[in-house]
Amino acid sequence: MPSFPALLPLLFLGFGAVAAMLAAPRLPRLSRVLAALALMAAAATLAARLWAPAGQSALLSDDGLARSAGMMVCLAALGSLAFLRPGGPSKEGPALILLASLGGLMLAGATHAASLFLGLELVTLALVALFVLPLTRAALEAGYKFLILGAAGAATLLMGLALAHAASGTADLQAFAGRGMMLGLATALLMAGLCFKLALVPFHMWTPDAFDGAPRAAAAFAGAASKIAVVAALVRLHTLAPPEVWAIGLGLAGGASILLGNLVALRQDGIGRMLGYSSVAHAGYVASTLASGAPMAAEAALFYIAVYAPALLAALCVTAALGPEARIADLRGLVWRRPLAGGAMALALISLAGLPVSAGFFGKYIVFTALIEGGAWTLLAMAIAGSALGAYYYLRFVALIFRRAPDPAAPFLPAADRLLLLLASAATAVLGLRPDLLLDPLRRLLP
Amino acid sequence: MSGLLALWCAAVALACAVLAVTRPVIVHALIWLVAALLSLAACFFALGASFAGAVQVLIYAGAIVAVFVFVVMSVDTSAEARGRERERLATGWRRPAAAVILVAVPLVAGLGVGGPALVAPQGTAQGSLGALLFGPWALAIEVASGLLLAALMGARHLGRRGAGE
Repeated sequence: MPSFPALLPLLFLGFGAVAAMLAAPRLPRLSRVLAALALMAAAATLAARLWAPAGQSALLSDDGLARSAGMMVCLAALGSLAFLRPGGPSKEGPALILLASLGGLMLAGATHAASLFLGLELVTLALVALFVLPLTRAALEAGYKFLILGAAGAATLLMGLALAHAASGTADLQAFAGRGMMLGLATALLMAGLCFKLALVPFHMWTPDAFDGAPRAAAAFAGAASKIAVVAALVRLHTLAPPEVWAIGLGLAGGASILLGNLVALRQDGIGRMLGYSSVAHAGYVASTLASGAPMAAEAALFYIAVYAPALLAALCVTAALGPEARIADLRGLVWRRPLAGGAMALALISLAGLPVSAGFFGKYIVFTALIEGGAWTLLAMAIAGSALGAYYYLRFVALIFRRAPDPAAPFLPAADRLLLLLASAATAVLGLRPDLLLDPLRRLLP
Repeated sequence: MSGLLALWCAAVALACAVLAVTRPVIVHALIWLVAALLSLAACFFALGASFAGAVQVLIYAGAIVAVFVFVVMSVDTSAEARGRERERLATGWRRPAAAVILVAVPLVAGLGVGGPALVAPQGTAQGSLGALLFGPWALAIEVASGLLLAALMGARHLGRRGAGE
């Protein structure tokens, strides 16, 4: 068993989920507050022990990677919770976000097949329930797609874990640090299962529907918190030096995701769908960084997904305020109607495009540096082409935000939304000026 | 001897599984599925994994098949539906079969050449398994309960649809 301080964040999230669930039917407001407090407590305990000596138990590793990724998962989950609209018969949202974060924490620390699988499935099942919260046709479609594709991904992952166990006799993830045909096949299957959750190209079909049909907050969790957790698991596996098929597969899936995600996003007019396809592309940058084999790949991947999260949260929060069918035309003149929403959206899109004075610029910069250092020239060419395409369509949206609009109607922003937009924009802007504030700790925390 | 028995049971399980996915009548498919699951359980017993075998009988052949029976009750089993299903099976099997071959061929090839020897089967003492589940693995059990909670909330939410409208 892990030591008690190491268990504390998991306890906060687990008991918080039960408390939030019990409070939900009668006191939905209290349920939200409880969930927010539990997430803050978990993030604070993780932050307090960030530099404590690493520990190891049968299932979970309690080290810098697990703590930093766990903290980012909690913060991203807090951001998603901020704009989870309590509507209709659905009141379990906060409890489900806590359960999904618990899964994310498990995933970030997983050193064993069982904890990896449990973490992934907890994230998936809680997300499916979050997706179908509004019970609209589009939400149900997103939920069922994610459920069925997620089940296929989980089955693939389990087959990979079983083959690795058969080849090595241990269910520890250390089993993947070997060579051989059977282990190669096991690694390929494991990677396919993880790619489902990261939405890399052959397995990305659920993403656009989730970003379009599901509640925006649920999509934000799937795009930010859940991806941070999966990237942490990928980084942990990556440091074990798995068989060659790992780098080849990640490179293929990553390169294809960059090209396809950006090309399809180019033609989208719905903001949700555009962000969905762009999220496929961003996962592609992370995967190709890990595939490059550069020594700095792990910190580059984590940094990239960490700066992607606040930008995505801000963009989806504004999209949620614009209504369920937000299209590009709804952005026209947003900055004149709602300066905070318009400014935050513009900054978020600039960060997603990777332009200077935003955190996304340094994300792209460090990814390109890793690709050059690893000598992955094809992937570098793909990443540059993808970024150029990305800059084009993101700027199309940004330009519209600043155009004068005849329509004076302004979207309504609750206080929690405003706070989230402020904090996310501040994080994006500060990291855009001082990336070392995040990069240096990451560098020292990673194994 | 037990190795031969395990191979025989595995072959029976494979045959039953093939029959289960090719029968157009869902009840027949279900019965073949039960046969496949039970042969797999026998395979586990033959290899000395009696706990896995018991779990296979109790959970898979028992609980999961019971869930399938509930699904069958809500499925259209008329003659036209059967005809449609037959039509779908005429071409629909190719891609899943290709996927199976993609996995199976390197697996079988890898068993023969170069690959590490399979770990020898060994029995598991139930006592030590229990001690493991309530000792270092207690965390996994707790998280699994969280998993069930999430699934339960989702299922209850989806089930509420009929009552609410």
